[in-house]
Amino acid sequence: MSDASNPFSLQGRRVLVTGAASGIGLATSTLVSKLGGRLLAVDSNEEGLNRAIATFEGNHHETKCWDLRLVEQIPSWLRQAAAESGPFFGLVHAAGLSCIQPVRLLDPSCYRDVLLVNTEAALALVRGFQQKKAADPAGGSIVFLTSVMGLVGSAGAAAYGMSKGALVGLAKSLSVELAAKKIRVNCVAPGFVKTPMFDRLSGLWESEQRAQVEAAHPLGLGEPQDVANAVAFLLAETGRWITGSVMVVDGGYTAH
Amino acid sequence: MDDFYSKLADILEVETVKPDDVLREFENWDSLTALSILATLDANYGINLSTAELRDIKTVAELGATIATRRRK
Amino acid sequence: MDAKQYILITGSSSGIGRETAIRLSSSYPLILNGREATRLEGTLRQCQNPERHVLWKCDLREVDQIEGSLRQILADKSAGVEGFVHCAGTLKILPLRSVERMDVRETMNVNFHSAVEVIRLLVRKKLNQNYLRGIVFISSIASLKGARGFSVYCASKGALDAFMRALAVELAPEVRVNSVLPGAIRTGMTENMLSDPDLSKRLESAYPLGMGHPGDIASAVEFLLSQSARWITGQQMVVDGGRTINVSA
Repeated sequence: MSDASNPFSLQGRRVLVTGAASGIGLATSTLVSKLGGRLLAVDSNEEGLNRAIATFEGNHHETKCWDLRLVEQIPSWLRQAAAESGPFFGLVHAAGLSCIQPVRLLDPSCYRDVLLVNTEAALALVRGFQQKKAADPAGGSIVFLTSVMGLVGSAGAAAYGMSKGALVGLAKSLSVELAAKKIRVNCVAPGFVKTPMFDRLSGLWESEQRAQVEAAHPLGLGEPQDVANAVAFLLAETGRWITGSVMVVDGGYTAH
Repeated sequence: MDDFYSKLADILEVETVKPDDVLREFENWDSLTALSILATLDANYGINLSTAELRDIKTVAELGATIATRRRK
Repeated sequence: MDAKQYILITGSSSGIGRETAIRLSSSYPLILNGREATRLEGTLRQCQNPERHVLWKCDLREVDQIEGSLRQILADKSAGVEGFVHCAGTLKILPLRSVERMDVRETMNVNFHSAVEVIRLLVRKKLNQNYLRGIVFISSIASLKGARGFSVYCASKGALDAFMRALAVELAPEVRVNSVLPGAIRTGMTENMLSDPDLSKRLESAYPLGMGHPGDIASAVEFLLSQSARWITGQQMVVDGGRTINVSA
């Protein structure tokens, strides 16, 4: 239910969400649509996008199938999308690849795509977003989905942690640089959330390991909705004085 | 006033202060010292001076005079 | 017989506490704590549904008196407390060499000890059953960064946040505990500090988004207490216009 007097309202605001076809990106897109926002849902999975858009509230949304590994093209794709259907207020980078490998197996070919999609694409998206004709003159709100693995460490998570930790440094300097344009930049750092990515990951674990990971979260494992709520908070007027921050949504995982 | 002068000397970390001394010329004068003075005026004399008002006061004597006037009110 | 459940807000006579009370008043019955009856009544007048709320006059500097006073008000109103928001805070900017024992005691009492006192009582079944669900501390970016003249204030906020994390771990999963860390905001507490034009100017340039409003903090508190934040606990939520990450000249 969207309501202009609701502080969480995204009425009249165009929001680009990457990774919109599944998991956290999908939950975020759905919530944005419920709050009255106009979506550009982006993913590499066209079928997934078509299924997703059918579930959004309202019918003024669009989808685009982009391969985020092609980082040099991202700024012009964004400029093009803005020219077609109007400037963007919100940008949520929820697309991501995982990579769990011990360091001895981490040669560049192994983590190349992970860095491109998780990290370099984020910067490219912002380069596109902050162009004069692409940005809403009222300002903007950018949210990167980092991860608790960008803040704390675990064996095998070096490449993934590197790609997510980099987003934190990126967001902080961007937030200072873009403040004059009234564009806010923040990170949301989820703990382990029940998404297809997590299913693929935990499918490789022994049942004991999964139980351990779950027990390490005082509030248990999360739902994509939990993370979407935090992203929406940062996108809307409720987040108007928040920039350069890392909002940790992890059921207490990093609190102990 | 003696009592005030000795408190002031404590804050400025000098042996004594004289009426003609210029506040801003004391070695440890800075914004924090200024705040200490305001806090003392409030706590010991019930006087609510603002940082802007303190800015207009040049010497120890002027500060003493301000206290005397404000206290009478 | 179930008691009526309230959100208890300390420091609700002014500033962030007042704005938080006003914001929450449309959704929850509130217990409004403050030192002075007239200012509490001022807050109540600005609240929605004023007849649903309760005023609790208690000076949090007198930590030894909190227990008796809290037990009394909860018994009088047959009240349970499902949420606790600690907005009470005192700030005295002083170089350490000018700090007296009383300044330390007062700052630590209001900012930290009073919160410990209230919570250790609210988690007792005999007093508050299992009603408690959420706690939010108004901490400060002073918990993260030092500043001249802020030594005791920083200590009090650091203590509050460490306490918050331990509580989050201990009281999970029934109770979520978080802190909001505001940057500089114009309120009664910061008024004096901000009246200095030099300081005011420096602050504006240090803050990428300029200075904040109490409403910005009230939004964060409202969010953390709500079901939208059901998976958030043990966290310091920084709401500071970008101050703490800004090292640009």
